[in-house]
Amino acid sequence: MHRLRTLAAALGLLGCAGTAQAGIIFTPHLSEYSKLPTGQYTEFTFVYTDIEDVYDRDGKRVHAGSPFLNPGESVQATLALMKFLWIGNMFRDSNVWFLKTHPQFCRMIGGVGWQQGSDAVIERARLFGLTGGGNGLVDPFGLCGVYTDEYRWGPVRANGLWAGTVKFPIGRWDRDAVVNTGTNYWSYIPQFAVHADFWGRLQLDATAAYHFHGDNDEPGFGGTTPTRIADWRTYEGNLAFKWTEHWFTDLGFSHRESVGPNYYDQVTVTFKDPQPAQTACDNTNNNNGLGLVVIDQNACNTSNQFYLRPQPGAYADRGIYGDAVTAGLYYIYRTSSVVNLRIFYPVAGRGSQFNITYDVCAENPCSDSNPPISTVGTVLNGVQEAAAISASPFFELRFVYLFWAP
Amino acid sequence: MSRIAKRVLLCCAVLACGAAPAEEPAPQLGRYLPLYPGLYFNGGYAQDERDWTFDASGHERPSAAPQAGGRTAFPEKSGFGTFIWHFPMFDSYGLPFFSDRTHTARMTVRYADTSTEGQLAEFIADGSDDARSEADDLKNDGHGVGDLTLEFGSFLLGSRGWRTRAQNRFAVLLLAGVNLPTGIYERDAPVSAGSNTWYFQGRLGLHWQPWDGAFLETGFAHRDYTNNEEPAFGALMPHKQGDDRLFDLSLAQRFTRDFYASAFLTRRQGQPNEYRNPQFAPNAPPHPDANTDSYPAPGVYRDGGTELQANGFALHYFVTQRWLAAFHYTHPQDGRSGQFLLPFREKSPAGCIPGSTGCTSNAGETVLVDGMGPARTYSTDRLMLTVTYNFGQGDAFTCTGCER
Repeated sequence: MHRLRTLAAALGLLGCAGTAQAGIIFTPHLSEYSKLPTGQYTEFTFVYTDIEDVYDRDGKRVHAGSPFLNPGESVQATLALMKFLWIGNMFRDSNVWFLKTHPQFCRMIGGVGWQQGSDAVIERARLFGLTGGGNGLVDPFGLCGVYTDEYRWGPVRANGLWAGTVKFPIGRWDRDAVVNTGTNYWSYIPQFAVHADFWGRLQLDATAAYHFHGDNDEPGFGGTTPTRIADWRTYEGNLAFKWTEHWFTDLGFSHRESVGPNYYDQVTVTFKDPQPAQTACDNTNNNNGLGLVVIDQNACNTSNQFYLRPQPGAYADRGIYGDAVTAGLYYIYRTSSVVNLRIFYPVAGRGSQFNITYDVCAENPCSDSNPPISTVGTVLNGVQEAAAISASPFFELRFVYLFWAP
Repeated sequence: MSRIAKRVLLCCAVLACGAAPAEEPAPQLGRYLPLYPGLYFNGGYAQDERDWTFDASGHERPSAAPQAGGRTAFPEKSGFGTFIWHFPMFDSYGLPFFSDRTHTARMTVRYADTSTEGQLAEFIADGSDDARSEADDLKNDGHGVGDLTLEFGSFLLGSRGWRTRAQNRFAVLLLAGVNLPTGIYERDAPVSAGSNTWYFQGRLGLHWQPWDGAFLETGFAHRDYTNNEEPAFGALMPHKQGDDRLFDLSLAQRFTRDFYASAFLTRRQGQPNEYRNPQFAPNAPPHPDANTDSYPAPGVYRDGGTELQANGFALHYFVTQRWLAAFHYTHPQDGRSGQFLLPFREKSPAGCIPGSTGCTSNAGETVLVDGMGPARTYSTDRLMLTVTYNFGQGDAFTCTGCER
């Protein structure tokens, strides 16, 4: 029995976070929700992170892939995003109530990404016949909304906005990859936001949004991305200070939490090849990070082979959440360009993990003619954007440019 | 059409890149010439059969992967788009160097449709090659978006008179670039649209107009690649691509008011590529008997480097003041691909895991294998069509972003 438990424990996956695109994309920047002059704005954003740490289901910061990967192993990720923003009033000459007097805006966000695991991450993924990285198009976001009236109270000037966003799941989705640039599920996001300017020096931008998520019928990485993704609530705020006409700094806070658990209905992940006893020993006794001997060392030299198969069923995690602070520096050049450097630093979170039961079969894969000799339980990590919560910082370089005059 | 308009469009046809980073594009007309601040776009389409290569000795071989036996091709159709900005920086600040000249920033996006045909495609489709290696789970589809390249540069000479539109017959451009490996990279296929490898590049370009209507241009570049942490196709793609040194030379001449023709020469010299722990080889030695099989000896291997010298010509036609169309033909003259010797070990009983109880392992044959991806140097002609569009000049906004 100890040997069987060893095999199941060795399945412990990587626990690698995706790049949390939605979190990054929606975190407000300086004057994000202010009523800008009508026109077309273009924004280029580059995000880089090296995810060495993630949060487990108890909210504890652990290194990615723990305990089967050593500290220092990681997933690097880069996103290159392009955002087009249009602001105007297409109802200006109509009699449509409210809209004829309130400007509207629409935005498209698209881009490409690169995500790559380090050596041990790749070796681990290959044990399952899977791969350690994902590149390509990210899911595009499309949103439209309308500004409220502008209000003035002494030195305070404020406005609000309502918006609705759709995330289209057409980004790169490789079912074999531990990380992906796409998500393979739809999102619908109603949002309310406010912008307030105090004495022309302090600028507050804040938003609350609810993310309705569709299902993912083709989960990735052996079914360790959720099939039924929990909805999210997000609350974000940003306070900026204007030092001169050209220089600004800001501080922000971001909170995102799932509404209920994620569900995993198609878990298939298991070792690609049968596992000899020696491998089981190598995976646990010598490298389990727990300080425990879960298999008799004398049994490691046997020539037995074992096959594992996850029992079908619906598995659920405890839900996820992530808190982060942001800090940024802005330079406004001439009158048409903004350059922005920013750090996104996670301060708390809870990632996805769930208990699962595996059938264990000897010498041949499990089948009707070769029934399991036993069952064992283990804990799997949910991976990618909907499940894993990174505990490592993100760095952002952003360039906003106004291409064409209104 | 005004000569200024032509100059503007000439210059914005820049260092357009094909989808595969190892294949240098045909040099573009006026690529090192400063132009009036504005936004430009250069897009193109290229086609290459990629069914002949140079081997490690420089001999032409009728296959993209000659050591696999038979004939193999990696046909590719690719498109690209480059956004180009020319602009002054901090011109009102009086900063040394920056304020009195123009600068350029460029962003190139790509798409490629590529696959494997012939002998290697049969190897990929065969799921019984080796149940315990990655060779039984290969793929043959690497099409999609390509890598993203960003460049920034300054004109060391030749741009100081941009406000008065003064024409300089001599210019020098210093460019720095980075490749973001965001392209689709199929980790189990021999070719993909993306490279999964960052690179950093420095380039020095010289522009000279020796007589009216003539453009003589030459450039030198050095490119340094980072490790590819997940080399594709069983690690037959380099884990560490050798540095590249690049050279280009072109002479263009105006023949009619709207028509230019040019001839060019390019050269790329790649340092040896490094391969780490290859998992299989399409030309692996046969199993000695039913109870014994073989596997590549783990280790780090190096090829002898890569090389390509190509020449060609191009025709350029100004369709309107804002549109320039061009056709480029490139013919590889000499080259070398990366190949390396890979020793195998034999183990018995067949299917056992080396190092496990009862599994014996001995030295086996050594075979010459083809390095994949950037290690391939193709000897096939390449055709490329480009169009260039001038969005406009000057700073589009006068007050947006001003204090309200």
